[in-house]
Amino acid sequence: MNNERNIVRRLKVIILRIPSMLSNNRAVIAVLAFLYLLPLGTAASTSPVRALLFLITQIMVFSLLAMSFDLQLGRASLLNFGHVALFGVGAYFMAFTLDADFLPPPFNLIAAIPFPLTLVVAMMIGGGLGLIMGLTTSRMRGTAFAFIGLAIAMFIYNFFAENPGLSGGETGLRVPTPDIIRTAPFYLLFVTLAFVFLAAFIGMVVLYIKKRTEPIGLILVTPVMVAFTGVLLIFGTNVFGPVLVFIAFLGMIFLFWIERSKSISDPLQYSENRTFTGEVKPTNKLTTYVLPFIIIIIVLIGVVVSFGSNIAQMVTLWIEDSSTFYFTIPVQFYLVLTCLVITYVFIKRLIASPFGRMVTAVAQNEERAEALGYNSYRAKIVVLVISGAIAGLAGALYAPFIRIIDPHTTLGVEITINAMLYTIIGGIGTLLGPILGTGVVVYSELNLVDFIREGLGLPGQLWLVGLGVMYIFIVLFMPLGIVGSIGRRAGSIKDRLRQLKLGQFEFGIKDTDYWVFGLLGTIGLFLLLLIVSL
Amino acid sequence: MTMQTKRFSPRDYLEENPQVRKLLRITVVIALIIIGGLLVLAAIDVYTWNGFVVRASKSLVNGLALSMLLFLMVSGFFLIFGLCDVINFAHGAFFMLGGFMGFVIYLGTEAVFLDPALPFYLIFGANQFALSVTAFIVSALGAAAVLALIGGGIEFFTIRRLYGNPIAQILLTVGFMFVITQIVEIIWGPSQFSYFIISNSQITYFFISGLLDFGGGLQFAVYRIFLIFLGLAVAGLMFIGFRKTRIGLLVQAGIEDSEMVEALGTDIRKLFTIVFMLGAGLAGLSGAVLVPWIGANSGHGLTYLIFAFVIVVVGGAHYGRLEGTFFGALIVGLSIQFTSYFIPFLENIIVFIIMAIILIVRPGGLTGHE
Repeated sequence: MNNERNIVRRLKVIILRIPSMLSNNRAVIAVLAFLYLLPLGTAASTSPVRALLFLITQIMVFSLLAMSFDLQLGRASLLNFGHVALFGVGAYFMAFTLDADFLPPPFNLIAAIPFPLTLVVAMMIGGGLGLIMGLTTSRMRGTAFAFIGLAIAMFIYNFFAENPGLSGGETGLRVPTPDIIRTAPFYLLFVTLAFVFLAAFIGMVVLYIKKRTEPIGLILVTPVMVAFTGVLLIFGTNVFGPVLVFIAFLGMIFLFWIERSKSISDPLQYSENRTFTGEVKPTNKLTTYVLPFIIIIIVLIGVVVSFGSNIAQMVTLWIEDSSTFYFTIPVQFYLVLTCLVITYVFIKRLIASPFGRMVTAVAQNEERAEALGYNSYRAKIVVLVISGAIAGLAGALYAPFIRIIDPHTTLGVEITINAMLYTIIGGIGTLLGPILGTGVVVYSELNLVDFIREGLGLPGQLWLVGLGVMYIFIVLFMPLGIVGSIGRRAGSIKDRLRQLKLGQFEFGIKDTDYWVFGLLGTIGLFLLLLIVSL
Repeated sequence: MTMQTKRFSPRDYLEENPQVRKLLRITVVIALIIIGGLLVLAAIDVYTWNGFVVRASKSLVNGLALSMLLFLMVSGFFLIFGLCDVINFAHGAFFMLGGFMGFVIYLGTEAVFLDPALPFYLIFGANQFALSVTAFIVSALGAAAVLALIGGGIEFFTIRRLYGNPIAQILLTVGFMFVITQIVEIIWGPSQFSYFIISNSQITYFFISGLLDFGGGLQFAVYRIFLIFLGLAVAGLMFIGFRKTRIGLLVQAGIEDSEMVEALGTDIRKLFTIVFMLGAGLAGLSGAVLVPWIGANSGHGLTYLIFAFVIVVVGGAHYGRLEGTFFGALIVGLSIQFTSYFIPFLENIIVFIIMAIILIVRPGGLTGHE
């Protein structure tokens, strides 16, 4: 009895904490809701969205690799040249678990491990290799650690390259798609997740508009809702969905109007008109519960209406032929995106934790940290293990996604150098930097190289030379990379935005409003990519 | 903290008991000799006595040639690492670029010498041997000079800004490695293509070609024997230079303790630039000398960079001496060639096994401190 009441109380606390959680992570939730909605635009037919999804999945896999590399380089100042080994080991392990006929009998038992569990095992293997690399940090001090990592990576590369029976050799090893990726329930699970994120997003917008009763609140929400409706119009299958979303938007304006009429815009005016009684303002049931939930439900119905036929088509496709490219790409996208989100949150929490602070201390001055009683050796090893696990996860996601792996593309030193390019160009020691850097480099490598070769008639590798020169300039003059340099000037940019004026009207943009720019920027970027790829 | 229980550590135990240590060392040496003898016997059993002699002598000659070449390259890497504490990841790329420079300069010199309009034609037009020798010397020195200029420029304009930030320096050299490799691949194509002098030269002649035949399958490429002597000569010159010249002594002292050298009134920055030029020049020279043997190839950069790492670790990375690098190069070069003739599947892995053994037994390498 007592226990039950405890559970109920705990649930209540969790539910009560949802609004503050939503308000604290506005930008992340908004971008995530958009990313999770994107694959719903694909169906059983060819669609430009699918090519985009394929590209983004690739970017996200390499983002995981770059994030794990940045965890070592940016947080712990460990330059590990053998990073690719962690990635490649994960990829090959995944390939071996997916095909029971590949390894000789005693070893092919690993193929009995079911798919999502193999991701965990691949992470453990990557972490184990990271542990081995970490143990060598005591042998060689400082920068010479880069030697050992490279030697370990080259050893593994040569081992796989010398055994074509094991690695598939030059032609590569064909990796089958895991069975569970080819099932509709797995897909529907992610679709549900997408709707959860969508509900969170709309709830966040409602909370925002209730709190931000200055005119700027409405001014900022309008483009968001217009963009949202536009996305539904472009990716959805009919007009009724966007219409419902538009109705919900009208509801939001109504909510804004009620809240604004109640709010105190000018404290002086307030003291003139009313007398302060000291009573707690009673919660208004209409604006707190009824209207927001109606809005959320209308939007959800609108999205279901827009994408319902797509989802149904996907499920039918599964019944007919689940192994087609059409079916697996959105599911792979969801899988990788979910892994990326979990990793992102995990790294964010890890850096903010006492352990993360300790790692920073060790990275900045090892002797001082040791004098303060921290075990720097253990800190480095733990960072390497975590980072190895993430890199192993990236490899394990990469193998079934790219379908053919060979030693060169999964274990070659070029991958480490690429991870370095992504991290440095994006910005070391920042969470978003590696992701952004990966996006810029991978996208440009895939598209600009061909453009230069065919459009301009020049060798396509000129772009890679340009990238290298850019990298050198960033190392020399912008040690924090793109994201870091912007973050450094964030203060002055924010000041300028706060004082932004249009004639007499002051916008007064505050910290709480930046999610709008993040979301609009993301949507704009994706639409641009879609237009370019058409 | 009260009492800390002392854990048993083999290293402490050995340090406390010198007799046991001595005994252990003798046992290990005897065991190694026995294992070596067994391996030789097994090899004789597999390949017959004659085949064993042929293989052993071939791998000895090739291994010595490779060792000398590696020593020339790695000494540059070692000097830069020892003095400036910069791990020069672009060193392999310098080496590879040196090969291409040597190749291009050789062909260019040959074309100039063979041009009837120029006075050189009178001297070299008929004498192919003199032409080839001169072109080879010009190409080796030219490649060294070009690479020395490139290396010095890179140090002077970029790396100099980042002293005191070792990780940024490494990242920077990786950037240069990337850029150089990409440019070379644009011009000469990916690593599937190797460029050789004889097949590309106008007169299809190179002054050292052909085999030295002792009969019974004992054939050695003359060029490799030539390489051994060339490498020994350059190594000897370097050792003398380090003992006798002022700069050599300064560099040696700087590797031991660069702050003290600076405090004694040497412009250490200038010294850094000189060492960088020297190191890059040696890489260029060794790259150019390699061309007649293995050819110029854009994939060589990474391969030989890894050899350089292993040799420096074996020879003694921190506060090591040049002699350590020499012996490291000998060990690596010989073991690569011996395994390639006797245990082919270990050929690409043996260097890492050596590195692992050295790191476990002597973390400081042959000459360095721990």
